[in-house]
Amino acid sequence: MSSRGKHIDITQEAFETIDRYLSGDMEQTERDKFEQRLLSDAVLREQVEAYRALFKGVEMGSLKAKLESFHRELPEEGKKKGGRSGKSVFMGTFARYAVAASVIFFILLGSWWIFNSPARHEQLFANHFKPDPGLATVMSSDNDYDFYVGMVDYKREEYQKALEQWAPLLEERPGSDTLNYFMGVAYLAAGQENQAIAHLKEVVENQASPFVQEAGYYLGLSYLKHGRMEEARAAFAKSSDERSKEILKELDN
Amino acid sequence: MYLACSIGIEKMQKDTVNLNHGKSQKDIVSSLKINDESTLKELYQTNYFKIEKFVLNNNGSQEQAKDIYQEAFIVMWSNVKDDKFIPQNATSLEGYLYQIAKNKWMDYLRSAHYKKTVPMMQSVDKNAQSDVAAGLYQEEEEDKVSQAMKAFEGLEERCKKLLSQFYFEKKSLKTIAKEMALDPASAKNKKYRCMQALRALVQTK
Repeated sequence: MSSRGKHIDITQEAFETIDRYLSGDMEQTERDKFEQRLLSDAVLREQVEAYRALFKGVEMGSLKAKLESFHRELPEEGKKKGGRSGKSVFMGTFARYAVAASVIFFILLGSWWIFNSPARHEQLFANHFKPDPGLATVMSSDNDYDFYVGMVDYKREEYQKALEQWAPLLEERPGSDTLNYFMGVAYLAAGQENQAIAHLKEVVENQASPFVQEAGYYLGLSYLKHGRMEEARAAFAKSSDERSKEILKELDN
Repeated sequence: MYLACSIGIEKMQKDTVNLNHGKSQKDIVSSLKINDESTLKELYQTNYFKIEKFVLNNNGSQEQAKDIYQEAFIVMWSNVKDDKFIPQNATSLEGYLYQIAKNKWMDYLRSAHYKKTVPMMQSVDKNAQSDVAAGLYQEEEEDKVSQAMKAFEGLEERCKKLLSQFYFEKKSLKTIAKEMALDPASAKNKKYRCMQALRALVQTK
């Protein structure tokens, strides 16, 4: 206790160094140096361990508070079900009605589909469009961190959230082809073709970008969705992506 | 009423399906590591009722089911974060969560019939029969973390919020500063002072 107590006074600067070390926010050279110091400095070691436990405690305490709120928001129906013991005898009957109802629903949907089938360009779009699977999310440097947080949303198909995460990053780095590319695809996936076109165009104009061919393909799809067929053709023709060639063939049929 | 029940079940099944097929192993692990709220919430809410059912069927109350489940959830989260458990997919993660909760409840029934609650971080591995979480916690570290966690609960609201946003929600200090209407330097200083307050709280315990 006494040995712990006496090191509680630590300067803001020393704290921030430990903080950066524990958050994995140090450059390699600084990290190496810091770890060297750790080997020889027992007091520092003790400090680092103390903060490691504190940070984890903060995280856990925050999680605990979150769990409470998740619990309050549990679906009501589930709560009732959990409170009751035993299954309802009527469940089986209900399930049969539910099946019957859904069969009727699909018949109705089917006939609606036949009489209102979307225009051919929209169908083509629907047949072809699959969002880019995204990048593997490995957390590394500070800037990338924010980007990958968005990438996690993107992969969860929460495109609006991903876009909200990325938009401020693009303000900082307006020329970023990676951001423009994924924002373009995300907008397209979210049904906002005009926005998608704006971002993807940026990428297509940058011939050095590794995303240029894929961007051309998605740009073509954005025009296609909009029914702007000539522009779609032009975009596909410029992109050497296999999928562009395929869809061009279908367009020519 | 039956309609409502049935929709509840369908919804739960749908959520499970989303978790299983919508995400690869890597996604789940990285979402958990950054404490992605929607992932945590989905995981929490999809799996609660299975455990509640187990506890209710084994002499427990709803309140106890909730406590055991939350403890298990925190252990699961902590072990995934520390790479002590690497789930292959959402199903294995859910199975793991269920196992921890089940073991915790069995331990409780075996050892502490009349104790009111099981201490938060008392890990199941002390009991030879609970092999799932065996060896996952070092006692001393565990103790310090749970002290810090308790102290955190007693911290001033503004500090709690700031630290939580930084260390749990992983927001950048810049964003936090903006939201709290502070300039970045004072946000930094405030964070330092909050951390010191927390440390002092732990030490007076």
